[in-house]
Amino acid sequence: MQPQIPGTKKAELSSEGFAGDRAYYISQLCGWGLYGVLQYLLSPAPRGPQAVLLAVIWCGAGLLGTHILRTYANRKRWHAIPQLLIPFAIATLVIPTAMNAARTAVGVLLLHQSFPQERPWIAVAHFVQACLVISVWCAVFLSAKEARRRRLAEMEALRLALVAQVSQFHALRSQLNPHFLFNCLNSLRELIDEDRDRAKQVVSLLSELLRYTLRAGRIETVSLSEELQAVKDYLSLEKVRFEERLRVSFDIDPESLETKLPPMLLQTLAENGVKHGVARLSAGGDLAIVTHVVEGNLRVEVTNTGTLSAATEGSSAVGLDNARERLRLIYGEGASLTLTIPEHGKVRAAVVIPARSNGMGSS
Amino acid sequence: MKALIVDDERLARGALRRLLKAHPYVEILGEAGNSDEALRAIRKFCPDLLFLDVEMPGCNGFELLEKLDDVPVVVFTTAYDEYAVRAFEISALDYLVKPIAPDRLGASLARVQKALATLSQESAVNAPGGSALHQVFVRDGDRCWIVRLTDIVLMESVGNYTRLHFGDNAPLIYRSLAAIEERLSPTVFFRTSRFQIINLRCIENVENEMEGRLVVKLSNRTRVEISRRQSRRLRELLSL
Repeated sequence: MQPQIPGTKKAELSSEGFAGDRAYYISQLCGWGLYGVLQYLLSPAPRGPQAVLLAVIWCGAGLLGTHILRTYANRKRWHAIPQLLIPFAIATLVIPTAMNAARTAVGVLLLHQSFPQERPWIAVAHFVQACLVISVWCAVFLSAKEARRRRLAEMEALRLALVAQVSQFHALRSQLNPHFLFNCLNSLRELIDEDRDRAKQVVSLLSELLRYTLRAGRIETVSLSEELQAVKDYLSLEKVRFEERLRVSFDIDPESLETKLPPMLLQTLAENGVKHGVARLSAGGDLAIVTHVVEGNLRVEVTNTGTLSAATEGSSAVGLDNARERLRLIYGEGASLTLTIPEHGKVRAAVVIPARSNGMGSS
Repeated sequence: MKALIVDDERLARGALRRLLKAHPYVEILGEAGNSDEALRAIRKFCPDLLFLDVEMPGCNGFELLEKLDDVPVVVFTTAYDEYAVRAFEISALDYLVKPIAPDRLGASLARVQKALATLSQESAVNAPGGSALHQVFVRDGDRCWIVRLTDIVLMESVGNYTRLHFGDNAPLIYRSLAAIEERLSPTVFFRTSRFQIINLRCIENVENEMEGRLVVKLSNRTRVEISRRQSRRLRELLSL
């Protein structure tokens, strides 16, 4: 199942969204409009419809030119500033030329003005002014583009961090240890010949446990009674392997049965206890599971015969770290998992889960 | 073929025993449920073949092998352990994953038979009369090997340890050079000094140095200088 993360659909991250387009059109129209008005008002030429027409042509040519430039840049997928520099520099010369040409053409053909060759300094002044305007346009456009790129990069980084955290959370969900599973199947293979009824029983237990494990991957928390049933199934299966070497005892506070905890948490602790207690001792060992409710918090203890060093090395340390990390992701700092030595030759893993279990999914 | 089954789970031993019924040439000498029992049984029965579960209480399969002076042919069994499987790939003749598939066991036994034939032929040449396979188990961090003594080019004493050079490897083994020397065939190995033993079959060439001393170049490109007295003995041995 793929985790769904709200508000991070890829489409929204595309660089040319609808919102970006609208902002562009508004600033383009406002900018060139304002420039046109200023051009009209500040021009030394006599005012009147002719001057209006020339200002409109002038600014219209600029608007069209810059719009073509932007469309071209987008189509070529130029997004990095270095890629844009040279085309923009060329545009800074080409667009003013076009603006001047349009203005001159309209002036000469429609308004019967004299050809600018007779007044070259005016044409030069117009050209220089247009160059400045286009340079400013380019500068604004490029900085807007760069700001947008940075914001998108930041959003993408955040999205990736979120994805990483969600997948980490899913990876941390403890799964059934394959080592256990294959050993179980191996025992089963022998039991089919040796004790058919027992073999049937093992198949049922294993099915129940597998079903629970699969369900555990999809849910946030389960009641302790459900988790305990799975742990009992698991320990019955381990007893098939270890026979009289595994001695299990339960002391369950009835009040604790309906409290919630992350699925497979107690199972992980029990599995650790078996792996580092019984499995390492030729004479076998004990595994005691005790639960109670203290000040509204659920406290679960798994005590096994063994040594602390065995419980904190290698894969087991990883298992416990994962369990801790899961608790932290779900409950924040409210939950804890500690390893202690209650007496010589025993190791106790204790988990405290806060009373109000605010699961990550529920609000 | 005499075999011993070592596994801490009764059902697992039973399963393997049942599977081996299909191969009557395999004689099961016994079973062991932990490494102490295994050690006693191996010393008592000297099996040709060991089916060894890696995960066991007490010490694991590797630690058990390290305690053995003479390592039989080993087929490891494991339920699921990627690290162990990686280790087997270098060292063991073969390994079986549990539950064991009957065909897979058959293939494995065929390999064992072949290996035993070669090994016993060689050991008959090296040390006539003995039935031991002359193998040692060596571990160096994550890697481990079951090495035939005759494959060792050079042994160097490093305190209480001995460094074994074979192939491209030179791991340390927790055993003194003197203890190893007791088990070496004098026709194959030669003690060049207090600190070194060389394999005579791995000599590439012998050079005469000053004052009648010899310098031996071994197949792994090491040069070993030999004292005058030992040089004289080596000359006799190689009839130079």
